Amino acid sequence: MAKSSLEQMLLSPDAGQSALLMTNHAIARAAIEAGARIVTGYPGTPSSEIIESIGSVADSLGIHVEWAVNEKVALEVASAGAIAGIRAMTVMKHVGLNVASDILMVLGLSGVNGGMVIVVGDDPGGWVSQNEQDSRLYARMADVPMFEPSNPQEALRMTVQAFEVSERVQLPVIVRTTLKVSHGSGIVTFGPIANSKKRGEYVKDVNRYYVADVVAQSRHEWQHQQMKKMRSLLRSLKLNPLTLKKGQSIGIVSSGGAYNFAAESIRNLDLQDRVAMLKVETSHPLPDDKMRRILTKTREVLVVEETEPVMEDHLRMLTYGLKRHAVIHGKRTGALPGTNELTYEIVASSLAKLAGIHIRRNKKETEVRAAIADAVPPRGWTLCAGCPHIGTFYALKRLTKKTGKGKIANLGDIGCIGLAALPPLENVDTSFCMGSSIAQAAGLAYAGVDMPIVASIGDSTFFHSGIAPLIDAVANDAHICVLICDNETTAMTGHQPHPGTGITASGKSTKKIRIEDVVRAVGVEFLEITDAFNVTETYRAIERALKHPGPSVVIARGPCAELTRRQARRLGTKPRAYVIHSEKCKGYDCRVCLREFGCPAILWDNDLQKATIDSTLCNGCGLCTQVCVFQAITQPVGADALQ
Amino acid sequence: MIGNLNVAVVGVGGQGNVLLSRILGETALKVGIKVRISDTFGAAQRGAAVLSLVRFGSSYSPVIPLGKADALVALEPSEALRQSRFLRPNGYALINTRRILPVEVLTGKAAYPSTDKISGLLSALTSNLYMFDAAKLAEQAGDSRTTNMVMLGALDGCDCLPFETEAIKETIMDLVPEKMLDSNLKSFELGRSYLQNHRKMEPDLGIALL
Repeated sequence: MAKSSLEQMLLSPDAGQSALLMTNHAIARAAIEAGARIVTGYPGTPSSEIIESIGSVADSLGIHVEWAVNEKVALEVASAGAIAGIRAMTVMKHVGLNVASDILMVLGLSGVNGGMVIVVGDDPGGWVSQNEQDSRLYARMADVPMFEPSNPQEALRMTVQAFEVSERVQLPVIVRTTLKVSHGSGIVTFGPIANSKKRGEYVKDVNRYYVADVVAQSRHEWQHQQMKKMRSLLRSLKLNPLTLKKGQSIGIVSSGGAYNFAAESIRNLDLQDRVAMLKVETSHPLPDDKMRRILTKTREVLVVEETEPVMEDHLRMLTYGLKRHAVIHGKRTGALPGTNELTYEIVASSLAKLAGIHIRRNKKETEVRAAIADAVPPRGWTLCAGCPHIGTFYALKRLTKKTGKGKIANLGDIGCIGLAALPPLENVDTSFCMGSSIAQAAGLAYAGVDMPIVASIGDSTFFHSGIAPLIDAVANDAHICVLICDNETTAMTGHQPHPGTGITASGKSTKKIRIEDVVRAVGVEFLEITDAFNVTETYRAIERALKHPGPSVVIARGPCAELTRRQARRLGTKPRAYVIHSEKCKGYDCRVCLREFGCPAILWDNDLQKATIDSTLCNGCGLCTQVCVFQAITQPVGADALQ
Repeated sequence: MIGNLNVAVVGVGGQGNVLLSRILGETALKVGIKVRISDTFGAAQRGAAVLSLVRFGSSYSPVIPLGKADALVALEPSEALRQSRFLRPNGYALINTRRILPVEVLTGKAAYPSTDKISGLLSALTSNLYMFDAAKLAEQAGDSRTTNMVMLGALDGCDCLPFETEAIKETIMDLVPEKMLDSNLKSFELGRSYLQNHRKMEPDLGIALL
């Protein structure tokens, strides 16, 4: 969808209008319909599009929208708005909730006044994350309500409802989506835009907001009362639809994206008459009454959920004291896999087995498909043509080679720099969580590891979680080099601004916080800033930094290739592509540009048996000229360049 | 009677997959047909495989079950191979032959199958296989970046879509910026006539139920 038309959709005053929207955009529309006044978050797949799209219309609606420095700050900012009585929303990916969990655990005790919705995008399978943790367990731990939509229309309806419910029970409400739901699109019909409270009001109440000690104890009791209210509210909310007909011997209990696979399996296997369905939409509190009904009215219950057996365990608990109940099948029993994303095929075959249906497979077709699968070349992720990180990590790679194979410990971090672990750079050793590189590097130094130690971290990640461990490293005098790869944006998730960019989530100019100022302010005595597109400069700086006896920082700076491309597009210019002079290229036996450096714009010409540059991909950064010692790569000048 | 139609659009980040599927979806919305789309992206600028699944008619999940896509529209040949797992036997396979080599091939760690080999493998799965240099047609239309529109035109040229050619063109006009519209529409027409001129048989009735 063209950007301008998405903005029109988000702002449309026409209740009843239909649009084709991605779930994330439907959630953005819901925040607008519900009249959210503060919307915050930190980028992370699969949730990033929500704040991005609200950012484009925030000013015209008077919404304070912000890409916060991290998820904890995001939730704290929004929660204060909700305490002051206005509606607020915070958006993050599942692992962001780990960062925000500190405030989440307290927010259920203080409670809120305006509707507070936390949207969390889970990633079953961990396709774009470090793990596949299940946020439903957080809802249970924090004991706050959680809704779980399956498609864009439900996401719109249930997010609006989440604001209303939050106000009725005075608790924050979490809306959980999963990757396939978040990035799935469908036709959505709009509701009206509410005229919500615009200004907050702060009413002091230490017995509620000074959460500690006896206040925490009494508020915990209050929270239990509120959740009791929530449980009785479930009956009037028209959520958790149960279709159960007499004589149905199989029941399915399912939620979220997994429900879509279950519903489709029932239809495709033609089992509508035999299979009952409880579609769970409140993942916390779970609909105990309906769960008991399906347990007592059917003989077999299949629990289809992502990722942990949360409902399955709960159903088992509910069987306590029941005279007769269905046999429960799920992840615990091996009826469904205990890890990774579910697929239609997995769910359909599990249901078919339970129903005694044999799914026939065509042997010839299976053979044909196996032969095709054998011939498919892999296609991994790469850094982009013109990426500054290619220069930085090529410099580090050369330094590593000089010190001996693998002789520099290079701890990595979250973001594009992680792609430097892939061939051909293969120069980042680890990836744990946001900001972990610095403290883990320090830990290796304290452990007495006899290697030069580098922690590589991106600019947005540094602001998110890198500053505290840098202070820690300075305070404990860790002998490490922190390599901050500053591409001036949050690149991996789609170029969202961060505090170092001087731009807000709604596109306004603001104070730009310089990384070097932060580094100096926390007491780092060795700091060098290099041009990431100058390999020798970065190489020498890291070499000097590693000789410094205490913590050192090198900032390798250069704009993200995509930012350069976008700017060129805006100005109507094209990058001046470099060319490889085939008479100078040493051919197959060399290929250093392909085997060691790996810019995606450099290709191998099979006919010529020489390297060549794809002029449509080349970003004109010139890094490759520093790689080819035979000077086979040049940038055409004058008339040649004007094509 | 309204039946269902599933289309898988595959390629490499930056080839315009998402726009292609969006045009199909918006056209369905306009003519009143239910539609769901599943996009795999997030690596759109990073040369990774991208996949958009479009489902017309009644469905729950936006994800097409394996072997149930009626048409596979591939902007890149090795991606056609990879995602042919979605294509049903004898479904339409429309494939741009212009390659984008993966880094594993560039560094000599994997082999890229020849066009003949790809054609041989896929023709065992479907007799409705069309492989052609769509990028060349896009260049003829004045902009190599409009290969996606050539492929959209080719899909329309199969006469399997549940709406008129004019409706798709209207959506292109709605969604493509003014200054790029000419080359996009030209590419669409070139792709459409390519397929109409080369189509081997009448549309497969299995997918023309809409």
